[in-house]
Amino acid sequence: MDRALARLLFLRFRGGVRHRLRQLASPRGAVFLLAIGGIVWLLLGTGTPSPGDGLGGGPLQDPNSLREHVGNFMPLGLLGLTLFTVFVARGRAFHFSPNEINFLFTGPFSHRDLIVYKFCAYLAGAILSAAIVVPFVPARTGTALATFTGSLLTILFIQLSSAAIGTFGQAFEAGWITRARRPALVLVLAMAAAAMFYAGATSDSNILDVLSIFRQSWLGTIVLAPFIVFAKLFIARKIFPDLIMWTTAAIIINACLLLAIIALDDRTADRSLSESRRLSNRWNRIRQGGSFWASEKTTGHSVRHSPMLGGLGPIAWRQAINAVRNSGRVIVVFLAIAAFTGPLATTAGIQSADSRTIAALYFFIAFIVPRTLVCDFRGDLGRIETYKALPVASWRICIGQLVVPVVLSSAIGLVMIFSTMFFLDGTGADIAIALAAFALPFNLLLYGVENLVFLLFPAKLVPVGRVDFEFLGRTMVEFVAKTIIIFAVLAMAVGVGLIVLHASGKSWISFGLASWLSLAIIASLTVPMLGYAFRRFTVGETIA
Amino acid sequence: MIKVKNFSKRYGDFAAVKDISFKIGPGEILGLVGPNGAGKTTTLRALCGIIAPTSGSLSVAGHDIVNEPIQAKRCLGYIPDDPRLFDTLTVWEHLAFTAAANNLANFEDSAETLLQSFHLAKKRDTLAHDLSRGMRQKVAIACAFLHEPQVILFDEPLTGLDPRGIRSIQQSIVARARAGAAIIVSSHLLSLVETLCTHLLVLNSGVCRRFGTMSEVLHDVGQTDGDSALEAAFFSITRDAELEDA
Repeated sequence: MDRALARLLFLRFRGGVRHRLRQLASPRGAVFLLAIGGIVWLLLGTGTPSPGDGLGGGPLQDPNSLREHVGNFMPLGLLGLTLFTVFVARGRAFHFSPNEINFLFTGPFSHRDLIVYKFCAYLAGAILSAAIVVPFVPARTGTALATFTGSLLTILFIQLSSAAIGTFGQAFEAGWITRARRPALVLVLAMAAAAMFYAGATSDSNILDVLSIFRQSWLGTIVLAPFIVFAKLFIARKIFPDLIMWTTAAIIINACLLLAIIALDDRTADRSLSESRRLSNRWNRIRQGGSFWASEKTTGHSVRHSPMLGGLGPIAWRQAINAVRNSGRVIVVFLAIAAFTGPLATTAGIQSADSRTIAALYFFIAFIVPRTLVCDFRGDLGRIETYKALPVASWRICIGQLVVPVVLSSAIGLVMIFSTMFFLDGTGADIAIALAAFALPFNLLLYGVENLVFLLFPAKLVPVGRVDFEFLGRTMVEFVAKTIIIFAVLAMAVGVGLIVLHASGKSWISFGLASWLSLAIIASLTVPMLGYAFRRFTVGETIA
Repeated sequence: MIKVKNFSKRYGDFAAVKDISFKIGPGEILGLVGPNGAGKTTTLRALCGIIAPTSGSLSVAGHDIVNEPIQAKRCLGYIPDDPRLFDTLTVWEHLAFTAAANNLANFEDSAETLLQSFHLAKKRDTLAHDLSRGMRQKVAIACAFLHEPQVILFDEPLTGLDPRGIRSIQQSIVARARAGAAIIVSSHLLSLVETLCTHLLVLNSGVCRRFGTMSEVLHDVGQTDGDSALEAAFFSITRDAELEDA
């Protein structure tokens, strides 16, 4: 690599470290780091959860069983990721930021130098990511060295393979790839559906068993061969021959991919530039609350009129358009996930009453959906000035901002509830209908609190760099605080319901009505609080 | 039309604006000039209710911006220095949004006229994220003009505009003033201020250094030779202020 580029890498690394140290030196940074430390300590101290814990429970506590699962499912996961790249990505080569394009593409550097520079930057980030994984995993899968090496080379493989696929597609303008994408996607989905159907129809096996059988078959071994290398490396117990042999194989695979990218990149300079520009624009939109999967269209069919409703109408209307154009695909994916919750849980042998299932569903509804579906104040940080200049009362603006996320999240929740009711044993219609009735006030409370915290303590929505302590700590603290508030309110609502139940002589309808009303009233109180926070929000002051 | 009395704004210990007062009547155009950080944007933001004043009163068309914010904002159009449009709305939808927020039922003819006059007709279905800086500026101005406000506040109105855009914005500022609107233009382009404005307010370090009609200020400073009189006056006033501060 060119010496100037190596120097730049060093300076960027030093700048990143300096930025993190400054974060840690501030009281807020220190508090958030302590929060991360506390949560990690709790996780490690109470027994590290593994991804498999939520799938089958008990057997995965056994290290040998867990290693077997990693060996079976990690290659399948990597295959899935590769297929996803092939089907969905429009051709992602190495991504250069606008400042890198301005400074480096006009500098005296060859394309090969630039690719190696970018690879080294990824390598530094991958080392950091792999180091983060190490404390959590080796106790059950293998050694710390194997976990670190396996994680590092797997992360690099994911990045290099997606870059290689993108570069290949660009280099050959790959018309046949583009044409083959949709039929191939249909074929893969049909195979997945057939596997699920088979698992559902066979009473003594679930979807994981079917995947495991495929992995162990001769066809699975051939198809998954390059991916098996990384799984074997991850769970290697002995340095020789396991670790050395699989590390060598993984390095050879990654080196081949890097060489292929360098060889093909000369033919794709223009496409790489436009692709980098496209990705930069996407990231800018994400920073402003958009979704990565937002439409990249430049024109749209203009809706001629907006409803008025005293000023509430245009705010909700604008957020509805925002949701459709910015997060339309995300909404479809969430609705699909919600609809498949029941069938998937059935095929994986999961029970609805399992505490881990309930925790996972809560995490999905209260963290993943609000973090991804940003169509309220959180996506409008740069436009608060515009809202403040409108001749519309603050409470109307706040309701207008909440309507769309509350309705969408409730719709996702309802689909999930009814999917669970239809497919999972033990979920009665009465329970499902009761849960459905609570969806709307629950989501009003959820998004009211979410926006209130945001307006009182505004912060960026995406992290700066790979290890943004402040962002991670804040996200964790916010989620914990939000969960405490929500559970406290739910407890109050249930408490009121119990009092009414006792007073009304065991009338469960009165209990439900009283609880629902209490929840709805408390959730509605977030609107005036949000109005206060909106009024006191000072445009132009520093954002955390 | 615009009355500002003893307005001050503090951010913690920092005084962004200190005790300024001025009045602008219908048909008058006030040029708000001053170095970076002088308090120009803070004054405009306070006038349109984006930030609350620390002390003093600001009224727009007879409505106090703190006590009657909705009525005051109905009479107001504000064009910020960096117009942040809604990325996912088209140009037309921005106009529809503004119309609904201002309770305008029949806005389509006015919207069409504005699109034509700002050369935006071909961009009506373009999403805001695909507009250039100058186009975004034009959309923001069209939205601000849509409800025929009595008071219009411009913060650096010509940034990013092409020559044709600059001319059409200048013409529309003059036309709006002739129609009876009170206008404030904050800008670093002294030639623009000198050409357009009837009044001048020079801010420096949050303090009002001069306020009056353009000719009064230029006469007071005594720099009227040549065609860059305001530039000479500006440097004279701000230099004097810096010497005073020192």
